[in-house]
Amino acid sequence: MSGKKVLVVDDDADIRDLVGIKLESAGYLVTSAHDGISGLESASTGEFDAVVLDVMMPGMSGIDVLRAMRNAEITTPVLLLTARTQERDIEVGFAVGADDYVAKPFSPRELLVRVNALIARN
Amino acid sequence: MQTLLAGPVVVAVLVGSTAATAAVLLLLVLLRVTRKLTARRAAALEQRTRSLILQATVAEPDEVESFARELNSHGRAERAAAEKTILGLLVEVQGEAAESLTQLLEACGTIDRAVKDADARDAVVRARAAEVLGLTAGPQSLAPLLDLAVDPDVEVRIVAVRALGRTGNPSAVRPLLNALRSDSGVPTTVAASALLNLAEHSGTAIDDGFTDPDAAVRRTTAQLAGYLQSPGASSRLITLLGDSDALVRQAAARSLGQLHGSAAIQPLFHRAMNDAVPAVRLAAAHALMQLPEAWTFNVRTALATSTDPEVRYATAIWPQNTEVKAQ
Repeated sequence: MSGKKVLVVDDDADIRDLVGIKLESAGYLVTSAHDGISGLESASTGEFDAVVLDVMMPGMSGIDVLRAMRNAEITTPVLLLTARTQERDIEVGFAVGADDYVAKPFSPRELLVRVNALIARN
Repeated sequence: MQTLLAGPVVVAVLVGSTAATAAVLLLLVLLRVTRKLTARRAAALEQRTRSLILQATVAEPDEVESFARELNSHGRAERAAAEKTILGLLVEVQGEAAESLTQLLEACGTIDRAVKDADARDAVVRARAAEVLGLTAGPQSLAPLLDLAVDPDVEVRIVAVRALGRTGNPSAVRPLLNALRSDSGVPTTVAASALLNLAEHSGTAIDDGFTDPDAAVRRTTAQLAGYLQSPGASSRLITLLGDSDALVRQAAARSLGQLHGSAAIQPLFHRAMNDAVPAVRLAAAHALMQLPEAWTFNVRTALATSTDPEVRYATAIWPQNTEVKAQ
């Protein structure tokens, strides 16, 4: 997966950097965004092979970002990061066009496997 | 004379109050500056170890020890700051990453300290110890957590109960069932979530709760059995349909609707038609409507003749299906 570009959008700096380090260790080129608005701006460039998107963010949530992406016909595959207890988010996420999800607490190794699969599928 | 004195007194009061206001303002500014400096220092300390912690979290298992050694070579203040980052991350990750973080905490001496702090005099220290022991959930966590689950301080008990749910150890079931009791002081949602967490991740049976003398425990156990889809729970729930407590009967009926066992049909039908409490009759009727139609055709027809309008209403969607069956 060397050279593929992944956008990580999460307001929690520790999680954002943790996911970034894990993906970079597998050869991905990672760009980070700290909130929904900057995440959407980056995603709108259309230069990414996948987006890892946290659902629970203040202001523009991950679901809002995803909905805006799909409305703008940005088809980049999206993996949602969601709390295990928020099953409703998963349902809504898939309804607005998510491709996969990982529930928190998550395994970084599993997240990497899912991003690999997502990019390979697309 | 009074008029003559009034002027200087007013001036003195004004000067005095201005000085007092200035002193208060100065104090506020000092407090704010101190708080900012402390926060900045803490952030700087955290920053020094943050990168190491993040790399260790996603490292291969055989690499973590060297990260732990490196972390241990930092000063006490930095290790204390690192502890905060590690505990924050432990809430968000699982699997190998959580194991790596636990290894780092061991290197910082955090877990040993938490075991000792479980006996501290200060309730806040004991609660923090329970939090750490729950997040790391190692074999050394269980004994202190079992003690903390019956701590005299209710806040400590709450943290310990939540933490016990993360241990995955069957020995935690009984204390968690005890925490469900109406006089435990622990909110039912906390104890029930912990029990659900424990049972889901370890497959531990919660059967003792079905026969607990406290109705609150029987009721929540009945509810959890439905969520957990526990194998073998049907017969226990059918027994609870005859419980002396109406809320227990109601919870049992609801869970039987989720478990989809044909043995529950007649007991549920009996409750739907005859229970003295309307809420139980309704719960039993709803449960029957959730069971496969092929099993319940006759009882659904009979429910539509119930003298209870709520029960008849619960079967209101039934006529359309009846027509389909009749064809």
